[in-house]
Amino acid sequence: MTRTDDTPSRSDAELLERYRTERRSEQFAALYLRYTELVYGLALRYLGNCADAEDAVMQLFEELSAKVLRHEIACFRTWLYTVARNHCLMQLRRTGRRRPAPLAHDPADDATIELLCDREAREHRMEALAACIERLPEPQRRSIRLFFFDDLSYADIATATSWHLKSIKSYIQNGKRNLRLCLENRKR
Amino acid sequence: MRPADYIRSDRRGRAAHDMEAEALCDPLLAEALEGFDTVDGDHAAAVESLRRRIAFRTRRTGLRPALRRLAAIAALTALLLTGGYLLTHRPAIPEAATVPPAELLAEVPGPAAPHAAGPTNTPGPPLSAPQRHPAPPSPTESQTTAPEGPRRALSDRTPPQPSDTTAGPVAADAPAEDRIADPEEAVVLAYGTNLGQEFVGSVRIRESKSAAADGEELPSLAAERMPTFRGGRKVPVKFILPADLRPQEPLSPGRTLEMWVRARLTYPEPLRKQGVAGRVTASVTIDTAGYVAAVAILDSPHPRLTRKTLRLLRRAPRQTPVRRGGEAVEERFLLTFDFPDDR
Repeated sequence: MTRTDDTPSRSDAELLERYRTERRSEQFAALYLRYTELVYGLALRYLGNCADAEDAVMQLFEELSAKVLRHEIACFRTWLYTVARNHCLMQLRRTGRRRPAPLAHDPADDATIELLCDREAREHRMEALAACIERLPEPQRRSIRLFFFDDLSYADIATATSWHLKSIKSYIQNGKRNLRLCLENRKR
Repeated sequence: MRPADYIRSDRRGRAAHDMEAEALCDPLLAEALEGFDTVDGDHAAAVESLRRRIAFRTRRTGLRPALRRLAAIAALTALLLTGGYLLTHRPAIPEAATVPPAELLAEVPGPAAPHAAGPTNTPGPPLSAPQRHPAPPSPTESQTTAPEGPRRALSDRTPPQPSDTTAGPVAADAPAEDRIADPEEAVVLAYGTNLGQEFVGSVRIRESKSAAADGEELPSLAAERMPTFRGGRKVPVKFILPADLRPQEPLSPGRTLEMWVRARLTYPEPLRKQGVAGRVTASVTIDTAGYVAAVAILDSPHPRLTRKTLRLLRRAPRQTPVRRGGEAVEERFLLTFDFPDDR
């Protein structure tokens, strides 16, 4: 009897559950392979070179195959991010290197991003959103409109505005934060 | 679109926008993209190599979990039975035959044995009882004939022995009184017997360390395999071998890998009894990072030896990759493992 491989159609939680039950390392590998690229990129960011990043990916694979059996994991992706990040920070501490500057990511902005990304949600609050966008400084207003409303990428916006790519990312981050504050003020 | 595709692309259009929008809500993706952006390199190739290695590590060896558990229980039972048998049938060592270890130390010849002119792996001549030159007993040594004296005297004079007795003899620094004036003289701390019986066989030199010019460092070498001694408990003894201490060319990753595997590859007793002998030939590819990327067994006298060799090759540590023109390149090596290993 041949067994069909239904791994691609299974969710992370299903793969994790199957590995916990049957404890076959290739089942965990199927799950980890989905995130190899992201973990490698994350390790590159923290460790700063390809060889250390590759080692980190392989070490994490060995460590996590045992850890996932012991830990309660609600969302594998979030858990993996935390564990991989901590592993890289430990490596940096062990070798006495400095950690890179944190990315401008504010979890409190998530609701604003959802509002901006979701067209339906946007329609509901269009009036308030439009008023708040109007109050943003020019570069932030333009960047927000081009990115969220016209679906342009950072590179496209850079071409359209002649602004530097990093400045555009910064305008969008600051614009999001200002929008959140403005929308909260209007609710009260 | 995958992150690596995004990094390689010109990052224009809807797909690039969607990836950037997703990164705003996903810190893992955001940090990964930032990592790919800040470090130069062929990241797509690196990710592909990592995927291959992960898949390679988890390739099944054919044993199902239940069978594996059964094999583990059987192995444990066999171990317990063997241990029990050895405990109950331990051969009595005749007191009269016991030679105090201190006497063994005294048997180390004072002047160096003649130095071999040949290559480093020329087997040294076996040390046998007639070749030894007992030194006249000193007042200290005469005291060691007391029942507890010799062992204490030995442990005082020799460095702690490694716990892994499967490893070959290890080079060790000797106490000041044992130091030898000739810097080219080589000393091996090996495992021997306290029965003072004949040393059988020879040791081949695996690595050697020259003495410093000022004589601070003791010249030492490590033998490739543990020398065989007849009977008795194993205790450290010291003997002198002729050695060529000329600097050697660094070994290729294929050869270092072969030595690593050979040091861990055991000849299963049932196969030895059945008379299964021969050579396992493996083709191993070492990638640009120094990892074993692919293994193929080209020839093997028995499936069990194939499995043992494969398992070890897959677990092998990272090697120094082959470099050509300053760049690391992927290289294939043919490795051979003999059963029994007479090398």
